[in-house]
Amino acid sequence: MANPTNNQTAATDDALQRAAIDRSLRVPVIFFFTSGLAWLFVSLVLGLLASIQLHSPDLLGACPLMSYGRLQPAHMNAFIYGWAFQVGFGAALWMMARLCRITLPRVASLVVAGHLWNLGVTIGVAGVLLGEGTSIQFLDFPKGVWILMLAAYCVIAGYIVMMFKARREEHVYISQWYLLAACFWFPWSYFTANLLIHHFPSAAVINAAIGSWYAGTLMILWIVPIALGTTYYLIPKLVGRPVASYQLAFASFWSLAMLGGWVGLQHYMGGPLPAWMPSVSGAAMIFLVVPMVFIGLNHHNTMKGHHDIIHYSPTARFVCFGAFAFNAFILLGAAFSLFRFGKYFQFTHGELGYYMTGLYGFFSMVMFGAIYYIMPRLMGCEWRSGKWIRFHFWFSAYGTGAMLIALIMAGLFQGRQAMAFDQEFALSVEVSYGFLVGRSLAWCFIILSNLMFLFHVLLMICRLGRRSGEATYIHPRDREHEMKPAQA
Amino acid sequence: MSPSDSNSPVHSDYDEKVNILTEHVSAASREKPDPTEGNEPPPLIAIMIAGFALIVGAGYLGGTNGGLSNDSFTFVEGYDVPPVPGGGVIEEQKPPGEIWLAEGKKQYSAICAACHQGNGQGQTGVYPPLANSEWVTGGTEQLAMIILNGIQGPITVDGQSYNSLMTPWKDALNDKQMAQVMSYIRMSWGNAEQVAENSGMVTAEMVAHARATHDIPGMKVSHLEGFDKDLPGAKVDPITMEPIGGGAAEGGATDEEPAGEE
Repeated sequence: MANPTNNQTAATDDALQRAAIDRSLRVPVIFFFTSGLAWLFVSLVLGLLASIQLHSPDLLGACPLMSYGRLQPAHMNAFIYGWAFQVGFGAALWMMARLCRITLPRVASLVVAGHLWNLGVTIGVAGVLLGEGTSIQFLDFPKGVWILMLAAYCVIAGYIVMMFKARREEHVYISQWYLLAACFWFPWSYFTANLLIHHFPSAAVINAAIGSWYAGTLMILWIVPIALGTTYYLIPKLVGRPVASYQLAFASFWSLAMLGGWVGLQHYMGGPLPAWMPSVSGAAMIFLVVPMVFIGLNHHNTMKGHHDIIHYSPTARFVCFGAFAFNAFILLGAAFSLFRFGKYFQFTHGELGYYMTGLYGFFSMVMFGAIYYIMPRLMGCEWRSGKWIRFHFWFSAYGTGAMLIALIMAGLFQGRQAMAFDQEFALSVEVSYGFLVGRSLAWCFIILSNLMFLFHVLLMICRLGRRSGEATYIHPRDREHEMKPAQA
Repeated sequence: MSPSDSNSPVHSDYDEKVNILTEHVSAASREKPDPTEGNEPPPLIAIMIAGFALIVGAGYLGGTNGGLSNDSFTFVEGYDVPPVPGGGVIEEQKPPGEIWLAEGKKQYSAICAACHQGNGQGQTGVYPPLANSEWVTGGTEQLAMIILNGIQGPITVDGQSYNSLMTPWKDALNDKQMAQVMSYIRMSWGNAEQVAENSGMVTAEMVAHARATHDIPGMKVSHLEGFDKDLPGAKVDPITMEPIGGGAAEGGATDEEPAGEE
């Protein structure tokens, strides 16, 4: 610090402030990451068991606990509320604190709320496995658990909102729009759906409609904005230049905000609902292609000339994979809403493929990228091995790709056969057999990749990472290549 | 902010002892500044793709919204797609009369066709025909008696005389099956034009009445005298199988009296 120029002093102060923020967030963020990862692992195992049940139903015996009808909802709900929400909390808290330049003075109630949330998920998943589930997609937890979870959510989201309110940085960055919006959007749909379905139920058809609306908004109004906020933070940060176009970001955020609340009912197109309900939802799903294109082009232009970071930076690679999968997720949603195409996938394995593309290919991959970025800052040591990260990436990428293809093909065969009214229904199950075996294999890939990741994270938490001033790269960084434009 | 003070943020690195600024081990000290927004104009391709998506979405909304009415449930015409192989349309539910006759045909093929043949022509000189037979197209009561009890001895059918033995079928067919067979033979092979109006179809309750009143072992043609009339019971429409209006019901009622006296 000898004879610093003004610029150097500012940079030093910045670094000190960032380090102080990271330090104040260490306990809650690590708590959310680790408990989220634990649930991820539980969920993956449940998912593999459920997947095996579909093609080899006798393998696990006749125990009701091991039936597909319980395993599958337990798996999906553990994935969403156990993993996706908690890792989302962790990343959102950290990014919000960084962007607002807020050091959290006290985190006790945050950690308590985190424990309550975990308690809710535990009761819920156990309830589903014991046969107490409600059988409403993504709201399978037994009645009443939602009150506990919503209370815990309000405390956690309250922290994010309060940080924003007390922000020291006047400029509000794009990621903050998304994170703040998600904080308010999710409880709106969660509260509405639970209240109307569990406590003021009307006709059964309307309950089904509300359930499908909730499943749609959960994806578009929580999963999507949290992950998009993360991509908007990490991509420009890694590249070291501003997001290409403010206008595109602005337009895409507000189109998502306007469309997000309408989605979901296209699930019941052709069903016993007034035609305008699935029609409006389906149109909203198609219109979502607009923000998708804007966001994709914006990220692409931001990275222009810096695409080589995908080669060496673990964070960039995972986040960019997720950003690509976002396109697949939105395009699949739009395609499934088109009646002529979607009727073959309605109520088939194809729909699970759509959700897993969003939940794993898009959201989880972006979050893995965020963990690769945040963890060294919180723990003060670098990732152990680039080879392990590479393993995690490729097995996850191939796993999620194979699962998408297997489920889409299984859905197509199943859907076409199910429409052959003059043939036995059982045929529609048999034709997808091969693809369901493929789905189980894809699960094995994903479990393998995450076992590696879990072990890697565990080492980091025990502070057994590398002690180095240089980040861990997937491949050695090609410095000569970097220097060329500077010399030119 | 002295480097030796372990609570200073300078020491927020791992194991809290190394100075992040001098040792350059902290990720926080080497990262790039927090992101901001640039001002590049939106690319033309973005606007073109967005415009295309808006047109597709609006067309979809316009084509499927059912007039935004709460009473309109048809999402898209043709939701019930044809079965995949063959590409035919799923068959509509047949009218009850057609099903009734189809059932009758099944019974006929299983039991009667051995002698009277599938086309109802019988065998010349051995088994009398059913097509164009006055015993079939006449009153239903005599027809029911023949099928229930069988018949022996000489009989003249359509101008030809026959002398063979028909076994009784009262144990082989229940009321409904027998009514279906009778309906079938009265409505087939051109017989339908010869039967009295609206009396082609026979119901199970008519047969039940005949079964209860006519148990005649070793029945001969002479037993049938005076029974060339229809069995009591409401006559039914040959397509819907619904009872036909008041007139027919009255006719059934008047028929009932002599039958009751038997």
